[in-house]
Amino acid sequence: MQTVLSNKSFFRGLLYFLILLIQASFYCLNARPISYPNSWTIMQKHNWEKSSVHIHYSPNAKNSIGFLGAYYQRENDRLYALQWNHLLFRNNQKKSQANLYSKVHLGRLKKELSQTNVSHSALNLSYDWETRKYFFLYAIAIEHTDQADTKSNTFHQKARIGIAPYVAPYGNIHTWFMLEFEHHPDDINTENHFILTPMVRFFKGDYLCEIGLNSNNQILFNSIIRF
Amino acid sequence: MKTLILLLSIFLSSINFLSAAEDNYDITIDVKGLVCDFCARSVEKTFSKTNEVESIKVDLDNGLIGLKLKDGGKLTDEKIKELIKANGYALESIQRNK
Repeated sequence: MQTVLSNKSFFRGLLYFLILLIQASFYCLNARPISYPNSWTIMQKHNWEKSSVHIHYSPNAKNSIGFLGAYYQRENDRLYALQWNHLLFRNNQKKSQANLYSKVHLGRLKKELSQTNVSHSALNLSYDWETRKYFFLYAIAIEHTDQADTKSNTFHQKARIGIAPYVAPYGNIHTWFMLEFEHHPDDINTENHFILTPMVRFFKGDYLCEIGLNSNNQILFNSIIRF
Repeated sequence: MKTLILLLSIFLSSINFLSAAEDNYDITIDVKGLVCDFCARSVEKTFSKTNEVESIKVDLDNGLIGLKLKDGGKLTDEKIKELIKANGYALESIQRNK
């Protein structure tokens, strides 16, 4: 009975996200952390671990700075931080492009359980390579939380591969099938040590969205708007 | 065989340039790194903001940008190179069709 109910809840949730997806009017992401010069980006992410919003401004093609807010579902913790994204390296070829980005954030983490505010920082390095048909990404992140009585560092990494089932002309809706592999060796729940998430990405103009379901049956939904 | 490949390459690349020239675009820019709509949109927005450009056509398949200039509008090669570089892409070549 419980399984039937949870299945119903799952499909209701899936339906809700599909409606959101359609409401986004096919405006769905190239997940680059830096936009074109003098532009703004809103990045929304939801996955098994957290829901976050990252609003940033790109003064040029190599940097962006903005606000990061995140809510960690398991502990009900909230993060408020400033984030700086930087393009360390780009290799432009006629049919491909490769990028190496660094992402640093510094902020305060409001711990629900202990009702404390602690400092939190993270360093993320990501490499991506893409053509109009294939996509590859690898990222590593180190997070540091300065607790009242202890300091903790966590490490995680992820890789993503993608293939476009068709190559759409400029201005049309682009679709990608992607598979993401996450490794969180420091997570207290062993189910989260290795996570596989198949997903579909839609991208049109300044809008992108991704929807997926991971190996623990948890939904992923990301969207990006640039303006 | 090498000559044949060379001639074929020249012929194919001329088709690319012709596609923009046929639409009466004044300048055709060949860009490296133009692999997605986002890249193209970035370049499109930048050129749209310049006073000299009337319209833009992006050919993502071939990495080409066609520019139609306003009457009396002038855009130097140096300026084009600067704008492409500012967007994070690399300039391959510039062809003036008129």
